[in-house]
Amino acid sequence: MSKRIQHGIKGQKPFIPYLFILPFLIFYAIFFLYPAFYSLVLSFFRYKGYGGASFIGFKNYENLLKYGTMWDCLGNTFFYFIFSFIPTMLFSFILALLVRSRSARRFQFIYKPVIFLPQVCAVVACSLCFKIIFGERVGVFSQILGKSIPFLSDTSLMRLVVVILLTWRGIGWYFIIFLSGLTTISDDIIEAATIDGSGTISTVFRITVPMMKPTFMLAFITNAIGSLKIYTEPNLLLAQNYDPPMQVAPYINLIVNSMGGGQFGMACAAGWLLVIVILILTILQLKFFGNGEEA
Amino acid sequence: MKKTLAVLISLLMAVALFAGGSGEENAGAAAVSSGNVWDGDPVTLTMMVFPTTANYENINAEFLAANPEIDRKVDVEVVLGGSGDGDVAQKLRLALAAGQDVPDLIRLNYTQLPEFVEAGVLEPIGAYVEPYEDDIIEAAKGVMQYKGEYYAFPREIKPKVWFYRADIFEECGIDPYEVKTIDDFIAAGEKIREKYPNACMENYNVPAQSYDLMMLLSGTDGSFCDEDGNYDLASDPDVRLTFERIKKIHDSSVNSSVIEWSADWAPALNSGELVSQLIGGWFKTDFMNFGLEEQKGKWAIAPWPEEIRAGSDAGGAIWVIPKDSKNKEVAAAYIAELCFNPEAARIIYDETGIIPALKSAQADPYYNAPHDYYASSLGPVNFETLGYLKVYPFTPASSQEITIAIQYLNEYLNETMTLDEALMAAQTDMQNQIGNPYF
Repeated sequence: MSKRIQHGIKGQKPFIPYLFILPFLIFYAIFFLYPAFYSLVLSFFRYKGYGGASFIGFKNYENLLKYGTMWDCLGNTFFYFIFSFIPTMLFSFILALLVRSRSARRFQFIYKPVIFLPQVCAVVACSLCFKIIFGERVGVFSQILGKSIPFLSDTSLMRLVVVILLTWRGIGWYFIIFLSGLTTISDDIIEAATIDGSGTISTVFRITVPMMKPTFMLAFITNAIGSLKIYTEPNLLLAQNYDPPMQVAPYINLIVNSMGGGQFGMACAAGWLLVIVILILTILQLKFFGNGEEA
Repeated sequence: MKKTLAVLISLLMAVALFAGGSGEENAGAAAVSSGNVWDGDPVTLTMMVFPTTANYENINAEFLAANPEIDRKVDVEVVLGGSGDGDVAQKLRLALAAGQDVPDLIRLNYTQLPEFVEAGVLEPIGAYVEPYEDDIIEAAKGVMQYKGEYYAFPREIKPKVWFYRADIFEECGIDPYEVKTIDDFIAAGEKIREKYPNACMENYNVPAQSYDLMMLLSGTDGSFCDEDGNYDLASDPDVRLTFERIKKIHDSSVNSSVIEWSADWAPALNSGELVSQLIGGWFKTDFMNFGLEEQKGKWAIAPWPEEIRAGSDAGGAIWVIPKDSKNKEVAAAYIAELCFNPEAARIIYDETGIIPALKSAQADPYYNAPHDYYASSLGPVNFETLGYLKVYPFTPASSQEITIAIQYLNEYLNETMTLDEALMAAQTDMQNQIGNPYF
């Protein structure tokens, strides 16, 4: 038996499985590993995207860390992440619980598409609609309240509008993820808990939530990674002509601005700083979930 | 073995890093063919534009239909470069890095010209301009050159033009030519408000518009850095003056809170809240695109108040030919015809409203006729404002400089920073993020 494990079934070539995954490995190496390494190398150069490049060591990183706007943009990104993360997760989980409940379960075919709809709508279309809804004068809220509210010109309100858009769009997606997580919990377990005298709230916190730990981990990590790379929503919503003001711009705008200014080296360095931030956050989340041991 | 492999991969990466970019130097200007450039096998020219291809598809089709000799030789494929000049510049950088798919003709703004000329990737086009040089107005020549050499064909020269409600100005007895200073401008607005209490003359707000900053700055001798690329805007009196002028209008009683390009802008122009706009000549098309039928015949144009009338918005829109273009000679000859041929100029005017930068057009009744939409003819004022055109000394890093300057102009307008703090912070950021724009 041990011989068979070592050498495979008689007549089978041990490298065959590797051959099957070779196309993926080749594409992964060419289209992910190579560009990633290339950008890491570029981050130590002053390079405008064409022509020659000059080695400048850690200067790009040093300049970025001393650049106040970099910290502002990182702060904006964390604001968008945290303030959309909490309501998105909370509402989507509550909605998933409600749709999964016995009384609402048979109408799932109505609720599910309705709740998921914002996720299907094109982000450009949604952003443009929000731009009109939150218009300072012609906007819905300004019209209802009968006064101008500078949703798209006051920096604190501008950020809030982005959070509302992110939450509105995100709920449908995480609702589906949580709903699929809930389906993995057998009705028998819930029934047993009810027979043992557990109330609804107690069942949710003592049975459902612990059993959905792997689902939460997936949702939290993917949300964090996606949110830290946010670009489209704030740019579409807050830019009136070209770019949004840097006071509300997310971190990715730094990278885009550097590239627009012909500073590819600086853009690469900014990208790698973001990788480090995402890595730290992911490790913290994994630690929080106990490295997904119960997954 | 593993170490050897790692070293080999690293070497490969390093070689690849430099292999793509070095590009061959292409000496000298594109030589004008001794024979007829329209002879020989047909070629397809790729023309990269923004923000839409429709205009130039129509223009090319109409121009080629009217010129069978050129039509036999040239087929023009208009490709979209993005929504703005920044997108096109980015596409050009990527094409240059890849060394393939470099368009033959590229629409840019003058803002980007220094970067690509300094990098040596654009074709000098002096030989193609020479036959038309006497007919090109002086203002346009400034936008076609960098450091004294021709590198660009003029698509649209962008002087500063004051759009105003002719009916209201007349009713209130205000002659825009008598409005000489910013104080006069504010006083004129206050006079209008006696009759129309909600009327405003401008809307300089946060977020500030980069073209507002650059139109005002280009009229002065100010710049963000000196000729050697040392950022010194914190001590530049003209940059300071420009910030102060914007703040003065922003804080005045005749400034509306409407944000430009927001959903509130067109309604404010339609309702009579905004009775004037200090803006670029290009606005004539955007304004008509708002579709404000009620405003037809009510708006006219004039030069900006004398104190601030010099300058331009990014100089203008230009056409450039990359050295890596496969059809440089044909591309240069074609775009020269399109820019300087009087018949082509009329086709472009009909399609886009762009008035040609030609002396011969100045007296042409075609451009001086009453306008269908505006209360006055656009031609005479357009040519007058071209006389006040002054181009800001853009650097290869201008787009980044402007982004940083706008960031701190917003802080100054919001009063979260004093003027000194804002200028110093902008200078520090430019030094930090750009270093020296010429290196």
